[in-house]
Amino acid sequence: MNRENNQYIDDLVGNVLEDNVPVEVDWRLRSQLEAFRSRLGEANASTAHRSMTLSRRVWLGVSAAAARSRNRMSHWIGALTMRQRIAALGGVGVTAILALLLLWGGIDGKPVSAMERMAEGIRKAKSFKAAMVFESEDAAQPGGTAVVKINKLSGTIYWLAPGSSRMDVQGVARDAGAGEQSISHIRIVGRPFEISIDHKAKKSSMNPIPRAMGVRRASGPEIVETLGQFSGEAERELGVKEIGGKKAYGFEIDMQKIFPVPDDAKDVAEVWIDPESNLPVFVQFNWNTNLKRRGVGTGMCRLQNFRWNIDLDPQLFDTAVPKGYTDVTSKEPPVGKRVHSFTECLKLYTELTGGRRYPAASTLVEADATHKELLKEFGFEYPPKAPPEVSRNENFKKIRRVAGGLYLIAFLVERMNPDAAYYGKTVKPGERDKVLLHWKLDDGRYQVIFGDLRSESVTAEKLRALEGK
Amino acid sequence: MNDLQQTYDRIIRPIENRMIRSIWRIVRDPQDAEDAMQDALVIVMKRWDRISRHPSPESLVLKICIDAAYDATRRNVRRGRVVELGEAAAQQASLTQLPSEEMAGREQYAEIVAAIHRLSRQQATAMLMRAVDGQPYEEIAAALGCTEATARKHVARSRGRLRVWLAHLDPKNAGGGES
Repeated sequence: MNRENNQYIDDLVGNVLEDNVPVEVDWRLRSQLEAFRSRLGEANASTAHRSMTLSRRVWLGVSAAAARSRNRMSHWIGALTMRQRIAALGGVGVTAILALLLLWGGIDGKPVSAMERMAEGIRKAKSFKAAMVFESEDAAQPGGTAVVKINKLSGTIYWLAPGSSRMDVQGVARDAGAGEQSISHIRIVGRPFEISIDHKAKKSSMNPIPRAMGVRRASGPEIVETLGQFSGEAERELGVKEIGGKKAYGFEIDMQKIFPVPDDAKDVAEVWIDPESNLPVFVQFNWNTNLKRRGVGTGMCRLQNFRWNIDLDPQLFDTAVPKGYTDVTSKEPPVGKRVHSFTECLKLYTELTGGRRYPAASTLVEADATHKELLKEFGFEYPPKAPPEVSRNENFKKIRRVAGGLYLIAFLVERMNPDAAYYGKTVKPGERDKVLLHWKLDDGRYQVIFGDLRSESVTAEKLRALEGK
Repeated sequence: MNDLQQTYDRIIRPIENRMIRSIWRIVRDPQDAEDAMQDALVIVMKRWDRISRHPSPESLVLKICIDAAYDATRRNVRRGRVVELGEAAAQQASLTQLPSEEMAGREQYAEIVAAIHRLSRQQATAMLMRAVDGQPYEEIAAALGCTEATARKHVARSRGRLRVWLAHLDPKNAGGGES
């Protein structure tokens, strides 16, 4: 009977206090333990203890409790008399000054978030392989008859430290005018070109690698590499789930923290991390989740089945044209043609804006903004819609030509030519000796367009002298 | 990896889940759980040498966690927050429980926590280590720094008191007018 009663009490206490630990709590407490362990690595027991007791919250990376501490404070203050409050305030002031002086020596690091630990894990990785699925579609206008283009690609990505990658993709890319395709893209760290091998057409080509990457153009390896630079905290915790038979923690992050994202777009990334290795096991990027307009559409890139730190076959990164394939690398357009495109765009822009300034077009985002501003100035909509009466409008036609040039300049500066520069924000129309735009030619010289839209080819020394003016 | 981290990996890493579970089961509040964990880690750091030389270091660390959680709930009992915490925990369980079960669970949690706080510190810790974490008496004794017989006595006395204080929760007494 007594044994029965004992069991009853044990069960009562045990069962009522039995409770599964919520995911968020589990993660936070585990983070505290991780922070504790990592700080142990930085000090011996006595200094760690000193540092820890001086700044416990900071030492362990705890911030959430701060809010409640304030409530406790107000609870205590409410119970004091005015005299006690004044005395307490004086005491608190002195203590605060002493504490600050002590903390000055005690705090030597800031808390590390789960995402930051993941970023560190990625930076330390030597290789990975993962499966990728990419889907995007153009959203039709409400009530419109636009064709919805759906792209669906899938494949495998490989990445080798410090930054070489290969992406083998198959599927349909309708917006690129391509049907079913099977392509490999190879990038070797330090080389400004990537190799694209079209296995269906048996063609290989070298193409410039974009210098600044936006999420819409990022391939799988860049997505992961960029996560390796992440700092700060996730926007939302997604909980815990089993991925590949292992427990993983999920986080949602605003893509703005990783890639340049247009102001009006809502792009989010979902990242699931293995708490043991701190490496991602599942990553999904969703862009334009708030936009459903034609020409923008929505998209998704999912990376899964990660295998980290494996030995990759060096043949995967062979950039030679495969046997039986044709090299179709496009040649640079003639310099004269390029100069004409740029000067025509800049001339038209100054005509349209009264000759006061040159457009901002150093990046694709700037080119977008300038295009938008120009259309609005002339009463057109952005993104440009061209019903017959609008497309016949002379100003609209001019703006279209200007936009073509703006994007060319941005593309040249931002992506194609690492030695290109554009100074449209500082150089004014007509400034004869000021360099407005320059880019490097194949022969090592530089093509320069001046403020008065003259153009000439100069040596590197002369360019330096001109830019010094 | 230095010696401290090696010791951590040897002693604490294998019981991380138990530490987290022990704290959560007692405090049931995310912020209190963080507070309790950091309090526990401060004590762990302070007693690092003792823990690393202890015959049952895992039990000692778990005892420190239970103590920290106990202290966190003691603060709440004083402020009358336990019922509130029971509600928070019940909310989290509400997806899997019926409303009446939620209500009962909330009240029981509050009553049991209050009853545990009426025990002496040693008795409460021993009882929690036994009932919540299912630890054997020899490990409870090692953690409390007493003999196994004393640990048994702590648990037995706790049971006796809790049996009286919580008699009304026993279904056998339902309708029996137990007060």
